[in-house]
Order: sequence, then structure tokens, then C-alpha cells
Amino acid sequence: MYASDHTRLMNKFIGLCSNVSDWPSVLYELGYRIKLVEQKISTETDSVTPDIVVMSNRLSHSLVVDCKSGSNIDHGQDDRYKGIKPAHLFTWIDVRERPRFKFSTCYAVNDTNYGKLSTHTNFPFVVFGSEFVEGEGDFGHDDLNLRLCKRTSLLNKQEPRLFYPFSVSDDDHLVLQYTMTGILAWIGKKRLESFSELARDETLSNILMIIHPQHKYMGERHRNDLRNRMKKALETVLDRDDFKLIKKSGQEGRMTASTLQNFGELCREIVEEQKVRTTLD
Amino acid sequence: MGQGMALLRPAALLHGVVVLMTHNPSLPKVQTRKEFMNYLGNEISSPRYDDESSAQGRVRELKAYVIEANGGIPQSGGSPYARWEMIDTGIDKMKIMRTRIGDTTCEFYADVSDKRFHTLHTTAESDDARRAVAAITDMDGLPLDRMWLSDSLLKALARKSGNSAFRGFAVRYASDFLEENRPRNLEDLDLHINGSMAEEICGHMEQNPHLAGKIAYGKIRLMHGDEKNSDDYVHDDIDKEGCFAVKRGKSIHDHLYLVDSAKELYAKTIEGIEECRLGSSCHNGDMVIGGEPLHFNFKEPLQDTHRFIRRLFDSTRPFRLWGLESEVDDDYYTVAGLDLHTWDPINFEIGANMMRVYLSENNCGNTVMRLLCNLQDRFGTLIKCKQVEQLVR
Repeated sequence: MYASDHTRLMNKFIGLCSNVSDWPSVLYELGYRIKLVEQKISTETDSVTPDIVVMSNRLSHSLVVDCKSGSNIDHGQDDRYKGIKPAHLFTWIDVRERPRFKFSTCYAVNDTNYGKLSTHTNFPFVVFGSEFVEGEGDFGHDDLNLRLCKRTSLLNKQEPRLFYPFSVSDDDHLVLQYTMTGILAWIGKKRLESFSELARDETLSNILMIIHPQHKYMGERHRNDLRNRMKKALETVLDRDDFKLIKKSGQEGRMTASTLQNFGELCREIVEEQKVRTTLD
Repeated sequence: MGQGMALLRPAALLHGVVVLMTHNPSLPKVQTRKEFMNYLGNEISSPRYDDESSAQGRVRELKAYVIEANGGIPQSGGSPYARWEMIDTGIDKMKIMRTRIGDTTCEFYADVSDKRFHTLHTTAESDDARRAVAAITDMDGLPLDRMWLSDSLLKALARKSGNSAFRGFAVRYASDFLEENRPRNLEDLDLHINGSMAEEICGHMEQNPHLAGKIAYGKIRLMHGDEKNSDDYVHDDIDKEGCFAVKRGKSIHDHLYLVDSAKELYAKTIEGIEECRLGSSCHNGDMVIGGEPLHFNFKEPLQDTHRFIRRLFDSTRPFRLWGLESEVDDDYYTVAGLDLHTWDPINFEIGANMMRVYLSENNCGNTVMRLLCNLQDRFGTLIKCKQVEQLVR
């Protein structure tokens, strides 16, 4: 079961800003840390929602990142990014030395799309190939250019996949997998009174909070979108009596290993069914 | 201590929790720390059995168990099979913990002065005490767990200089896990070596090409104090589940020193692991979103990764993990998992050569140590966690 290209790009980029074994930490080593995820930023004329904003206090520099899984540039989007000024970022992130602060917008892309995309924008690119990662263009800081524009090998490296386990761009079966895990956690913690609660936004938001590590840092609109994806993925599940049995077991204190194993098998079955449905759609 | 059972009345239900109605405990209700130390000192010097030739040692030796009790131990509670109650002493942070597991009663002095890591002291029979600690810490819905000392933590304790010396070790591999994934030469290894030659023998074993880099300690024996004077030292067996059993010597002070220094090292390790949790942290007033996956390295590749995953996440003890796996690349899986100890999500990437563990904001560092210790119990030091190795270096 594969995550979407967008989710994978998000994870690969977050990995560059983290200390992960078996994955290059080129941005982490320059002091870049994640500051915002999917946060809407208002500008004078419009608004834009970058996928990730990272900042290095050491370099007093930020990268506003759009992970682009397709091969088309929306020119309106390009213009919206151009509308961002440092002051718009100061609303959301703490910057120690504002006068020295600079930022750049960039696209994170797969190498298969880079050729076409590069002819449509002047923004720099972080290009992920199957065997390398490399910056293309001017990122607005010499140290960053020096490090990022040097090709880094990804040979025998494993891309991190679970900093950002799922997003609105993923298929229902992936969203469902995490959602069902969250429901079991909720039952185990004895916070689910009845299955009908799962139809409520509040309950699903609470479950999203515990299953998505970046939940807290997303903009509200994105959080709601993700919750709605969970709700949609659950549509085919909530009426199933066999699924509801786990709740009864939880209430009666019968969460034995075999009950949980059986529930696991049922969840796998549901995920497979959803996968088939997605393929047919 | 078994005579305390006769004092138990039928359990009564109060707010859904089983409460033991008891009379006075058989342990004295100490009024001062000095009195408590004197009691332990007396117990350490008067063993009920003194058969050093037995693999179990003295049956009723003085033992200390360190348990993690995030949020403290409730006053009473349990299940139809295992129950406990906490009884006050004259010392503020010292309770008597009375447990009843099946038909057996055990009593412990529970030193709760450290908010997170409590120490239980007892001279109850080893098997009974171990069963009681396991039952209480395995109980669903309670934030209690044992202290899990991985091979590298035990080795770090053995390395501690000063008045300590290495006096023995034990290695034993559990046999309930994936025979086809286990290195063949570790299958039946069950070894106990004690004495001043232990370190040298261990060194020789590490020279053996079949065993080099694979032997994980399940237990070590440390001497602390001055061996010239029998009142001034102890030999403690320290096992991977946080039990400190006095095997020789009479110095209660040295026994407690070993317990406290292990607790200190463990607390530091757990804090370090918890810094890897995905989430936000504040450094010098600067909020960053961070965390990193714990990296487990498999020195020899798994023969059957999928089977390894199905066993690891089958909800049974000792791992107590549940999960839904997906093959995302050739022989590479992600797992949306749950730690059944606390019901908190914990996600994994697992391949034949390595495993990444992504802790969520509420996961406890102890989960990682439990996982590591129990994997090492089955695979030896062929499995190591990079961050734990760095923290104890």
C-alpha cells in the first residue's frame, strides 16, 4: 500500500530537516527545523498554504516549501508565493534577528517532473531522484546553496515514511488504516462511549490528534480537510456489525490477545476491500 | 509472608475497583528512614537460605525491583487474579505495598520518593515477588511498567568504576520467537557464570567468531564496596527486568547505591529516548517541530520480515504491540501500531536490515526499552538501538 507522491515528498523533505539514520540530514545540519506544516499564510492580496516552512536560526533563513507531485505549475500559485513578505512569516514563526532574516520559496519535486516544471518558474527546486537529492537554483543563502546544490547520494538509503503518515491526497485505504488504529486506541483508552460518536467531527478530530504526528501544527482548514477524509473513509465501515464487536469487547474487559488479533484480521480485510473499491473507482 | 493471606477478607468492590480489606501488614510500619534502613540491614544479614550452589541463590534474599510509575501507584486496585493495596507507614514517601496474586500474598516496602521510578523492597520468595511485580506492571490500563535494562545498559552499569567490580553474568535466549529468524548458534544458549574470572571468560567468548557481537546479557553480578570486610560490600544480581537481588555481603548502603545508580542511568536514557518523540519542543524560547525515529539496526538480516512483523504485533506479551502492516517497497513495511500498555499509537518502518520506531507525543520511553530488551532476549545484540547506544556510551 503506497502513500501518494505528495505524502512521500513531504516525508522525504521533513527527513532532510531531521536527524534520521539512513537518510541525509543536509538541512538539519545547517540548523533548519520544521516550523509550520500546511499553514495558511495571508498576504496583502491573497493567501497561500505552503506544505512546509523550515527555518535555521543559525543562518537566519527560512525555506517556504511546496511539495509538488504533479508536473504542472499553477501560475496563480507561483504569484501567491511571490506575495509572501518576511512580515507575513513573522506572524507565525519566532525569528531572533529580524533585520538579518531572509527567506526563499522552493518546490520539492521528483526528478521525473523536474524537467517540465523548471521551465515554468524561477523558484529553486529540491529534486529527489531514486538515487540522489539535489538543489537546483538559488536558495537565497550561500551556505545553503553550497550544501544543497551539491548532489547527495540516496543509494541504499531508505526514505522516511512516517513523519507524515497520511494526507488528504492519499487513497481511502491508507487513511482508513490509520483511522481504524486510532479507533482501537480510543476504545482501549475507554474514551468511546458508542460507535455513533464516530460520526461526530469532535470525536474524529480527537482521534486525528493522536494518530497524526503533525496534526497540531497544521492549519485549521487542513486539519478539517483531513478529518473529513477520515470520515469519508469510515463510511463503509461504521455500519459493519463485525467491526463494532471490538467496542463490546472493550466494554466487557475482554480485550484479549486473540480478540485483538481477530480485530487486526478484520481491519486488514476491510483495507483490502477498500483498496479494490478504490481501484474500481 | 504467606500468613498474611489469612487476614484477607473477601474483596469488596468500590467504584469498580477491587479493594483488599486487610488488617495490619506483616512488614513493620516503619516511622523513620533510619528505622527502615535498619530493617533492610537486618534482612540483608539474615538470609533464610544460604545455598550459594543453587542457581536461584538464597530463596528469600533481599531484593529491590525498580518500576516505572508515571502518575504513581493507585491506592488499591487490580483484577480478580491480581490485586494490590498501598498501606501508609510513618514515612511520607514510603508505603507498604501488599499484593495478592492468585493465592499468594507478597509485601514490599514501596519507596515512592522518586515521582517516576519507584523502588519495591522485599524478602519474599523470588518467584512470588517476581510474579507479583510482573502481574502489577502488566495490568491493562495502569501506567506501570518494569525497568527494562537492555544489554548496553547492563554493560554500562558494569563499566561504572569506583567501588564496583564485575563479578558475573547470565545469558539466556527465549525460545518462543521465529526459529527461522534466529541465528542458529544462539538457539540453546543458557549460561550463568559468576566469580572473579567472569570478565575474562566473557572476553574469551567475545573472541569466538560464532558469538562475537551477539551475546546479550540477561543478568550481571556486580560487587560494590570493599570486599575485604564482609560488612562493607554486596554482590547484587541485576537482571534485565530491573530486579536487584543481594547474593553476598551485608552492606545495605552499597546495595541501595547500586539500585540508585542504575535508576539514575535509566532515567537519563528514558529522557533521551523521549526527546525523540515526534512533536514540538521549546529550545531557548524557540518552538520547533521535531523528533526523530529510533533506529534499530539488525546486524544479520531477518530471514522472513513479514513473519517477524506478524509475531511482533500479535498483541501478546512481552511485546504487547498491535499493528496493521503494509508492504511499501520490496520486503519493506510500514506499520500503524499501538502500544497496548498505554493504548498510544506508535508507528514503525521495518525492513530486513533495520527498523525505525516513530514515537508519538504520548509514548513512553519505557516502551522502547521493553521492545529492545525483549528483542535482545531473542536475537542477542544482533539487534541494537542507535539512540540507546549513544545515550549510555
